[in-house]
Amino acid sequence: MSWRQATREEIYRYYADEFPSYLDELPSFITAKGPKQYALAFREPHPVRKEGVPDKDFIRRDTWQTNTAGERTTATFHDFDDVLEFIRHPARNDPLGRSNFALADPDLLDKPDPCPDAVYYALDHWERPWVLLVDIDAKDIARNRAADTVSEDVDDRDDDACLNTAGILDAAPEGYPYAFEDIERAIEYGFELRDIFEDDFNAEETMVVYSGQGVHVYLLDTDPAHRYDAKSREVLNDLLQDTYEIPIDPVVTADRRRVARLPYSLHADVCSIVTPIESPSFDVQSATPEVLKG
Amino acid sequence: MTRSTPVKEERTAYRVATLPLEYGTTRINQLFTRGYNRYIVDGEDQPDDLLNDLERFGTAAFKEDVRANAAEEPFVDEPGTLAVLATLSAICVKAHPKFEHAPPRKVQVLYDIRELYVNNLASLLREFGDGSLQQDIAEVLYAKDPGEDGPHPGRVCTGIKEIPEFREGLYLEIPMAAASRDCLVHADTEPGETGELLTRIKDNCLYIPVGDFDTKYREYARRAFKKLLRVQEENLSEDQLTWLTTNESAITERIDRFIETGHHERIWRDWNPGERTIRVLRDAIRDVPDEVVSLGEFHSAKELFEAVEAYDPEADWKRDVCNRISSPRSLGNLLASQRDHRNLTIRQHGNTNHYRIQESSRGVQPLDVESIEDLFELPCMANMAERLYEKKPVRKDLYSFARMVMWLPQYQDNDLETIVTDLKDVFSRWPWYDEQVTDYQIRYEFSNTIGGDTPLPMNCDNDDMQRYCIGQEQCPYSIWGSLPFPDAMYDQLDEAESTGEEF
Repeated sequence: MSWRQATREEIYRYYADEFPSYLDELPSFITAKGPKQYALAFREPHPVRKEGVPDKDFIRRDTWQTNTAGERTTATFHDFDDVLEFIRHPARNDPLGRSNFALADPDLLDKPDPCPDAVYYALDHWERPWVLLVDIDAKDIARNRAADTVSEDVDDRDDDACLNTAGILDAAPEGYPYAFEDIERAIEYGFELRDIFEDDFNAEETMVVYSGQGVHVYLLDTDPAHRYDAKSREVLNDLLQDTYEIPIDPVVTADRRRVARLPYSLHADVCSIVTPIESPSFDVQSATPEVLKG
Repeated sequence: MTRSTPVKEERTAYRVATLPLEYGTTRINQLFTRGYNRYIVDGEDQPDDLLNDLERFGTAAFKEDVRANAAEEPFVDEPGTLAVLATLSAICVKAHPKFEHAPPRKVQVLYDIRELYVNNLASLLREFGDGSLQQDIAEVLYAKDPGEDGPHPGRVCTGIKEIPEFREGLYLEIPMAAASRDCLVHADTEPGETGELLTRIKDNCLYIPVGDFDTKYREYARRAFKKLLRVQEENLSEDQLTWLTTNESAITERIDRFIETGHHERIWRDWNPGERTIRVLRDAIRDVPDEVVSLGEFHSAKELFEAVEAYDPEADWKRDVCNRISSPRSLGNLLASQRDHRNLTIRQHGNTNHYRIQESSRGVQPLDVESIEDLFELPCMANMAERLYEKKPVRKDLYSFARMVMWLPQYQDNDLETIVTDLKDVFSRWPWYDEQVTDYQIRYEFSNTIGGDTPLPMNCDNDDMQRYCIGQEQCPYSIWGSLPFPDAMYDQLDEAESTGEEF
């Protein structure tokens, strides 16, 4: 099995043909108006309309207009099809419309329509500001593994040297800073964490999502007992790392302003669909889009 | 609706006494009123009884065993009375002439009074009620600042429980949504290491061992005492204060006795550590039977270490010093770090060092001043430097400093520009430093001569130095005696003294 970047055409094809078939599977809180923002990352920076403003390779778009009091006025996207159109052709469907800061019209440019390398939604949610996501990254697991393996042998302690000596850069997927076993380990940790959420934190609504290079573990309960603010999340970080020894990314966990990869969007760096999963035996190969197979 | 006040209602009195930082001066004064009411019988004040009790409290606070016992069993059985006696005792201490100009944080006897108060309060708290007061206190101790969603809506501490599956003992229950890092309690370990996490997780709550509550509450109570003392000080009229200090004698006498018998460590806080080490060694050497080691003779670190090991002092601070000496090597290192001490001589003997501790002398230790920085060796100047990190200087601070520098031999022949540059370099360490302002002020001090003569530097008796003085009795230095001032300064001093004007 190898790992590769999706081509522009493959990305277009994925969002045109395959992604719509997963829309019914999206978690119920992901709607046109639920998260506070959607965001897209591009492989190449794309110009905006206003002269002199730098080209953008990452854009966030609010789902509602708000007045000065922060109250919602007009929705940007009326239904999820609008979001889908925005993902498919962001420059043609930029919700900023005629604004100077909207993406430049591809018809006026030599460069083609930008296509999203990654699609995100904001964890900051209009109705559920307490959505909790814990990120477990295969890169971190690989780095720890490398540090353990090569502890005294390598003078040069920088990451690449360590990863190289530990044979991780050469292991499949070649050239990536982790091996498939690190992704598998991340998935195992993800389900351990889900159990911890359910057993020790009384969570009822949880979700484990294969992110392409690791997992996202969600705690989605809406009762006040689960409204963890930044300080509670710091405690959670410490507990997960110290007591349960789960290698999480503490910065992401504590920060509610983050965006997360949209379930069923394409991780274009590795040609993988971001997939909610039910079991630690999930085969990452199965997340390869149909449109890319064969 | 009438609100319950600490004057009448015991539970409210306990709440205000245990959580004074959460209450305003009105409630705290009501707590004091409750305390004073005990000294009114049939409408008649009983000032002698109050005086007896506060003297008993104040003098008992100087006894270590009494302070320790109060943690087990209350020394005073009522929160209002405790608040009154502890604060009035502290006011008597602060009024002692010895401490008139000393910052309270330097005065050990105030710490002793506070410790008796804190221990006493802890045992009162334990004896009172059903744990609901502890739960109220836990709410305060573990509360976090309101986050972006506003304050946590429920109770911070939802119970104090035994949890069979955890280790023995009681646990404070804090819901995860109310938690902050203050709730993560680790076992004590060596400094620099993090001990095992003692906080447990169950049912979306953190469970904190109740021992942590005790530790945090003691810390809180120390700060609380400061507030009680401030409110009491503001509450007392000039007449009441005069009555108090005129009639109180036991506490004052006890302090005088400490001073007369040279128990500096009992009255001053943070007694110079080098000085402490030498004092403990001197005591240990004196204590050794058969004069195996003696003062004034050279001995190896091993011989001195054996003397320290055999020495069993009573005073806490002496035991602390002994405990820090764990081996002949550590003793050697400690002494090497104090090699400039006036009563210590180190001599190389083959491959090892030998050390001589001498009887204390009343002499004044000379101070080498190579740069302005060396002035901070003087405890008063070190205190001033420390304070200047918190507060801007008053003009007296500046001229105390500038005048000493003016008279240093190396600056006698230097031009003003060099002096100003060097002084600015020293001042720039403090946060309030503004180059232009400081430049102006220094030049102003230097131009401000008295009849053409450079003003004399401060001496230890000068009022302006008193606020930083650690007490002349225990200071190894004196400003006029220790600094290498030139003869011209002393000549001018003689002239000034003969004409009867100090500056």
